Amino acid sequence: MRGIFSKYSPELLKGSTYCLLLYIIKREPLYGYKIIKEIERRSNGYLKFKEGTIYPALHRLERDGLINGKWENVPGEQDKKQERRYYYITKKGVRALAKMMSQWRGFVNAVNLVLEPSRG
Amino acid sequence: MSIRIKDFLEELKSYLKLDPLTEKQIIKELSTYFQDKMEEFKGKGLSENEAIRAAIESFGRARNIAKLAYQAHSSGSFTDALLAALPHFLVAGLFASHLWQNFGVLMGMLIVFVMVTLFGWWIGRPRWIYTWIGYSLSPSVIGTYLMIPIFNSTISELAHQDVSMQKIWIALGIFLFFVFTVWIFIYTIIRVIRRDWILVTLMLVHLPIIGGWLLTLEQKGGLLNADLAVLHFANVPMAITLLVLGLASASFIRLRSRPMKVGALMIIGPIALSLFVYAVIGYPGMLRLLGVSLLMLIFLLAPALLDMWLTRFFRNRKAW
Repeated sequence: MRGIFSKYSPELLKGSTYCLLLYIIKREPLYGYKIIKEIERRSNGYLKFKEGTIYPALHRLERDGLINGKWENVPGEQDKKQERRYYYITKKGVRALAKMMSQWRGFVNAVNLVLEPSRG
Repeated sequence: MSIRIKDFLEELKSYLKLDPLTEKQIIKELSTYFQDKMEEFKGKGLSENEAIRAAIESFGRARNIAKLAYQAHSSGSFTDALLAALPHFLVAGLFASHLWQNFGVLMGMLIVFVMVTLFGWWIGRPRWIYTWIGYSLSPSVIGTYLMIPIFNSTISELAHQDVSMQKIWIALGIFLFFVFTVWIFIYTIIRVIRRDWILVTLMLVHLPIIGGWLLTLEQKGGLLNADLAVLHFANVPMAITLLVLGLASASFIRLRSRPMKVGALMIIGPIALSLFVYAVIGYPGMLRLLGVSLLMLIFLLAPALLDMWLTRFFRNRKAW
């Protein structure tokens, strides 16, 4: 059963990736690695990506004008400055996130109605 | 950064097939990820080698990530698509209006093609540039085709003791033109194929159509010898075929998936040439039509074979 679940669960994650990314970036502009860590932290380690897939997802959001990437200096080892690409949400991104979240809530409600009818 | 991570990023880059500036930005960003990830693993007490292995493991396979990155970056805007289709449309316009027979207009358009190509090359080869490069190269191919008989007869006269300085200069000039054509072709194809072989196909997709047109004109006496009015019969089929190629190029730019891009050219190219043959000489029989399509397909796939051969040839050379 676990095998079957792990086969299908990436699809669930895939479907919610863009929403998660926009939400995290809306709270605070971050760079790729930090975004991955933040999603892991907030989900208590439940949501784990193949981390490389986050970058194409970020680039797709950027291409669609939902976020903006900007190279910025951050303090690194021995006070050496390191560049990181920070992502900022755009107005279009905020609107898209609101829509995605409302769709997600509708989806979760609908799934709950099917799986747990007694709650409805 | 460790050599293994550099090699991993190099491998990923080799699958990207995007414009150099975008590739550079992607690799720069991914290398910052590996810096952070290495620090994280080392902080957890892993050795350098273990940290490298774990960082690469958690990142995912280079080919898969490159494929996703390609899809995120490969689709051009509508402006890019229009710019890529524009050379086909302009030349289609020349045929539709019969203006290809006007030397001044022809030269003016060639200058435009070359200027746009040089500009595009200078600003880092944007995705729409390849059709412009293709049309900038076309006159040298047509020129070579037209000059071969002149070169042959001049050489033949010189061989038969009919020597004059003027003929020697003509032969030498034509020979240098041939050398230049071959050089500019090889140079351009190698530069473009290093980015992606399918861009060479996009760049040269119209050449078999122009070749077909020239061969058709041969039956009416040839481009240089026939009465120009006689040559009008192929203008409308040429215009329509080039319009189709323009639409194929625009689709190529807009599509995200690489297999779809390849498919668009491999399907529309042979159909366009078959349509041209059908429109100009009528139905030649199914077998001949299939033969024409197959030849076109081989031409369109030739850059892929060349790419494989070049990659193997230069595998051990850092310069590639």
